[in-house]
Amino acid sequence: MQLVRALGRRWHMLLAGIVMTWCLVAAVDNLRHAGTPRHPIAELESQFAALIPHLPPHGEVGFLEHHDMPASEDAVRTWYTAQYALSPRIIVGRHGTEFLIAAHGNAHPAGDARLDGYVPVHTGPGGHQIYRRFLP
Amino acid sequence: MIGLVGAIVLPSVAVWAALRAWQPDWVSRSPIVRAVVATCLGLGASGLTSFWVVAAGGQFDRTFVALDLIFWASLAVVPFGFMRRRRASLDAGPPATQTANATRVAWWLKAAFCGIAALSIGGAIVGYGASPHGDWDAWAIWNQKARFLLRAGEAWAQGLTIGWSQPGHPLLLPSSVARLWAYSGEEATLAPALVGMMFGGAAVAVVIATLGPQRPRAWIGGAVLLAPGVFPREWTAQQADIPFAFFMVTSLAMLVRAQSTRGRDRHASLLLCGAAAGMAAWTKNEGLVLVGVTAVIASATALRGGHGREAFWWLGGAVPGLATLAWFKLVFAPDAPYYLPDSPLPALLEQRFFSDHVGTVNSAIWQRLLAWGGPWAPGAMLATGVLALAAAFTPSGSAARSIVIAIATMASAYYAVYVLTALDVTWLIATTFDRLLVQLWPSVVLAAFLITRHEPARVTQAA
Repeated sequence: MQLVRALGRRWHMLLAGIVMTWCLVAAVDNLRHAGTPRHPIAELESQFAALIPHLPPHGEVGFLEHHDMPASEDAVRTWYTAQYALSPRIIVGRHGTEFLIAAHGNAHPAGDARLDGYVPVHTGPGGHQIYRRFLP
Repeated sequence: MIGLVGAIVLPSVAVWAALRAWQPDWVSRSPIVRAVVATCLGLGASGLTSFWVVAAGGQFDRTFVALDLIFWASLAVVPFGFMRRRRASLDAGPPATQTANATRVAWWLKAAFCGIAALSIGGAIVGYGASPHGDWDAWAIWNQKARFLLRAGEAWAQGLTIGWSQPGHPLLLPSSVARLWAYSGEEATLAPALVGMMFGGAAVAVVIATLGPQRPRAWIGGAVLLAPGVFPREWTAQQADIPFAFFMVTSLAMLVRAQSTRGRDRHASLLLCGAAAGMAAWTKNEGLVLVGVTAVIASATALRGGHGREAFWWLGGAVPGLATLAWFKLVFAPDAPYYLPDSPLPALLEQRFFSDHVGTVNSAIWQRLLAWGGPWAPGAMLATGVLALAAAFTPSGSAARSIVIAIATMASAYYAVYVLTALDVTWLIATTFDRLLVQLWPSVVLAAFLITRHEPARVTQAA
């Protein structure tokens, strides 16, 4: 710090100018990249929210996990978004519940045994389906 | 929109009025800074009271809004009756010598800072437009809990049965957001985004106010604070790290102020230090570490001044937040955080230190530390941290020392978790490290720019 004082006021101004210029350039670059979404879920959230009128107001609702990659980031994001949109229902990652949500692409395209005993009751925007347990 | 504004303004006015009635120059002489800080302290305080209501069986309905409005309006009115003119008695340091050259430089710096601040605010607005629901933890944890608080009524605690939503996380942010939604009558994504932006801006204001707005260092420090892209980007991530960063830097700034004042101003500073630390603990679990370290430093400050009982002012400020946290943990969410180890500590330490685990942690941390700050500010935390350490070791660096001790304690706690966790540590560091540094960043900048601090003159209690 004594060294900096020794440089005198002119050098203080130069140093301040360099630092502020750097901060300004960084701020401009930050603004340029600010519009890049990292986890865009707005559309997915609205698609799941559209299912609300067709679900019970509370309680557990089953969620059919992705048939092939249930732990992938996309699959987990879809499940978490469903929970976020459909709160205060509890979205559980299992079948056997009265109502079951099959997000678009989660069921096996050649037929999914996990849907045995269920009938589709509603298809919402985005192709997400609500199944209800069939009671003979 | 009117409801949203009213929900923010009412507790802010109450906090501002109460503190002004007690000590007109709390935080800063600048009315703008006091208003900004009061807004965030008001959000924190209303986040506490809102939780008390729902924990006692209430709901975020119209009755709540009416009672909450009456409560804060009453609190806002009462202090005005006790306000009186007080002679301004405190500044962060000796008055700056004003010369023609210094005035031009100061104005130029202020203008540059305003440009940088405008760009940062613009970036926050653009970021909100791109991701109105915020980042991952916003919709997986914080805003999801807010929806449970608002939508589920008395059954809000069912949201705490969702294991992956971190039920043990404190509820200051969700309860604050749910309260704003209750006032506005809709679940506007603008509400949590606005909360993040206000806390982020307030953290910058606290740093500038503490460094002294009449000094160039304050505006340079404010600009450096905004330079790393990760900091303003987190403003609209709608997560709890920015509110935590505000409460941490405010608590430490008040601690620094308490160390250089006497009488009523010291009492007010210690009270605010404790209050901010308590709110930090009610925001995130790591706030308990901040509570511990500020308790120790505040007690040492009081004892060194010969008035040990002054530490009770800190305690008085911290009690509401700590009591709320204890209530929540004991009644609603007794489970330990997911990242803490569940094996016996001695065996775990032996296992960790005789394996490659520590090396893996150190390597991952070092890589992210060097990159933290973005393409134009890589290594910003490292460089500023070195400056903060240098400030702490200067003869007049007592203020910086206190802040550095707190930062070092927090960083050590984070490191201990990384070393001891049973989770995949590479994944844990990748998903948490940047945000943990965001929590510390305003305090690191504050300590670093105190390197030019002159020891303030001791003041006696105002007549």
